[in-house]
Amino acid sequence: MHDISEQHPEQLPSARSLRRATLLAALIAAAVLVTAVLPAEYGIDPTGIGRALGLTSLNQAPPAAAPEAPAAAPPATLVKRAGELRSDEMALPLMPGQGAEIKAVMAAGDHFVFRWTVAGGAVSFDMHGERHAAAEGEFTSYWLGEAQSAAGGSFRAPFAGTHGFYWQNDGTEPVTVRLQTSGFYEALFMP
Amino acid sequence: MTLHATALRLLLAVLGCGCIGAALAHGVAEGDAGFIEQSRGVQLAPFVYLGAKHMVTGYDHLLFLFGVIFFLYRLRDVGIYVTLFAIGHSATLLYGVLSGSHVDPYLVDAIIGLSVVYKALDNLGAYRRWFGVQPDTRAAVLIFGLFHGFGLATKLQDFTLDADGLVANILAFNVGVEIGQLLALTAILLAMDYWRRSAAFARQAFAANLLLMSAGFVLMGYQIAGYFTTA
Repeated sequence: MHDISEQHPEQLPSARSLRRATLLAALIAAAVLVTAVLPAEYGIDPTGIGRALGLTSLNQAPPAAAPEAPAAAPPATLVKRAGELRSDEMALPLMPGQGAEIKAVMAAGDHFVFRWTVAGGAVSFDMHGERHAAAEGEFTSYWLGEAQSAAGGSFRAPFAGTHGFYWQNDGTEPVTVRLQTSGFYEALFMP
Repeated sequence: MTLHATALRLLLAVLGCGCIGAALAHGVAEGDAGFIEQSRGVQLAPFVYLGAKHMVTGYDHLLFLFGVIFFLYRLRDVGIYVTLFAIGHSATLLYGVLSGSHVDPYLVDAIIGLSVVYKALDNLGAYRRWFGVQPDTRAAVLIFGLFHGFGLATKLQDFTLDADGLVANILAFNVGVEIGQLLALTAILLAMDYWRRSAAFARQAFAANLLLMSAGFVLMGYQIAGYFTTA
């Protein structure tokens, strides 16, 4: 036998002492559970001892933190840029059916905030960018829309090149698009 | 050779392996969960490391092992019982993960707590005293080993495992569990060996198993409370 009788060959512990030992073990366990484990792990604190010991604080970690952050690349809070801050404003008249662009020359990481408004109607648009010396028709679209009379936002250039807007007047009356930009970029121009 | 010398030699050999494992897995420990989720294909060394880490830091498994070897003096007996435990937990770890069968982790862990209580009472001779019979200790270790294996499986199943290389990775995890068990066991055996030589051991054996039983009850209560609060 591999049990306590090897230590006490004369006899096993009595049934009575075994019952008392089991009861004592259960009581110790109950005390540990109620005063420490349950308050710390689950915030269940019937005696208040867990709170007095500060154990319940282990169970009060902010639960909302996890789902808050989206899995996609988190937006940078701070974008540092050297160089001059530019502000530009341009107006672009568009005849019915006509489309045209205003674009900014930007290095990768350059950033601007923008707002454009349409006087006299609405336009469809494609906010997009092209690398320097890109082949014809090779561009990246950021934002597509139809029948809009205003839009705004903030843009950070993912690569060096020209980034900006193409607007098209789908209506029957002439319109004027007015664009304001402010930020770090080299120049704003109409191609 | 004395048990002490054998155990020391074993410890040194295993520590050697452990250092290599830790070196290979350097930088993995901080992001175990992320690693398991993102790993693709066969990744033997990291999974071996994770298995060993889980065992060495798994106090529920260690408490049970402590109870199992409490009155085992011969290294041969230790080997037999630990092998039975390893067969038991390997079977259900592999079966659990590969079959994708889901067992409630709280219930499995509560049964693992029960196994600690059971072994403590067994050590105290309670079954012989109360019922006049000694339940087969080897069968008990094997059967509780099966539940420990389901416990190991549920820990791995918390993650989405890549099907590519799954079998090899689970086998590697299992190998790691055995290495970890060997490491922990060697340390426990060394400490036990010193303790048993002391005159106080005979007096303290009863109290030690009482405390072991108490720890088993705490584990049970902890897991059962978890089962009801998260249900």
